[in-house]
Amino acid sequence: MHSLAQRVLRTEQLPFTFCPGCGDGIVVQMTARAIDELGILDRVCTLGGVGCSSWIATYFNVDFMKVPHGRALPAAMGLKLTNPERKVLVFTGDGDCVAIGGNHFIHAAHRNIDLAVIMLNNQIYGMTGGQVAPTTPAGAITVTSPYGKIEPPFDACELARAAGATFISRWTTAHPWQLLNAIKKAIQHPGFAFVEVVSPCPAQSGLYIQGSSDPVQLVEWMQQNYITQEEMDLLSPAEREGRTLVGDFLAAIRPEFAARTHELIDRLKEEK
Amino acid sequence: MPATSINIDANLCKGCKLCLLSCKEGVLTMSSQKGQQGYFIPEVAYPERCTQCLRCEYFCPDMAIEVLS
Repeated sequence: MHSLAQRVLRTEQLPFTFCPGCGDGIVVQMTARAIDELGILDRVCTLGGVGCSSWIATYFNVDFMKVPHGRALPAAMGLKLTNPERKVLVFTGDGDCVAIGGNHFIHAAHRNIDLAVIMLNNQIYGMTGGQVAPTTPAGAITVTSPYGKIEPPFDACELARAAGATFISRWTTAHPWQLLNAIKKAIQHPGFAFVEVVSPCPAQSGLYIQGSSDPVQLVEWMQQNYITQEEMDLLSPAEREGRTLVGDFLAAIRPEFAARTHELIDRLKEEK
Repeated sequence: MPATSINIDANLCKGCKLCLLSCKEGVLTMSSQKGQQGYFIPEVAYPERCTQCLRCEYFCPDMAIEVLS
């Protein structure tokens, strides 16, 4: 058993229930490294909604909440507001976060409440068998888009930015060091921190969309198609087609909701 | 290089081969041994080639491999 797992995880729950080659396990590992390196195990709590990636929340040796589909953010806001000393980490998927949970996502980001939201994006509804998601690419044939998806995919980082998130990064599970760095920064960021993690799904989107269930081929697909600005700059406009930018997009400091709420409460108590 | 000690946890490994993909030195190969979950698992074939870059650890989705020395 990995020594890091023994320090930070609920080892009796291992092995991870994820499919072979699933990106969810990489996020468990990098979050475990972040918690270990920051020394915050006693201050962290996690939340998961519904979906494969929401189970990431249950592997850490911390208190966690497992809540209905799409509702991790309201619960997270409750945990943060009742005790701002907590480091609140939300693990969600593209369906849980921007489909069913979309409205909660907009408003939590808008409040700039101090949460770290790590959204795994496998571009499909994985746990339920491979239905089309807002993040599914146009033209993709899935269980519920048998003639090809009509509309283009949703960019969750763009939504986060428009709503008011103050820390935004996108990486893939094929960029583990950059991902670890982004998770550490997101946890420490005093505001709404959003990390999108593009993640392979051998069972569903790998099979239906990328055309392979082979974990190795899916990692290579991500390395080819999810590239940094420096790599994009080396390509022609034609070569950029179909490729997605990854990187650390935003880190800004703006008034944070939990702190301001408690300042207001303290002020009102004093005035009484 | 002196041989690096690398531990592969046969109970956790799902035989996805991402460690083999990520290793730049050819330290690992697939073995004919099956782990507890029934997957063929890798073995450390050339530990003296290991540069302790930790790619195998960082790419493993199951935290099944650890570079010890």
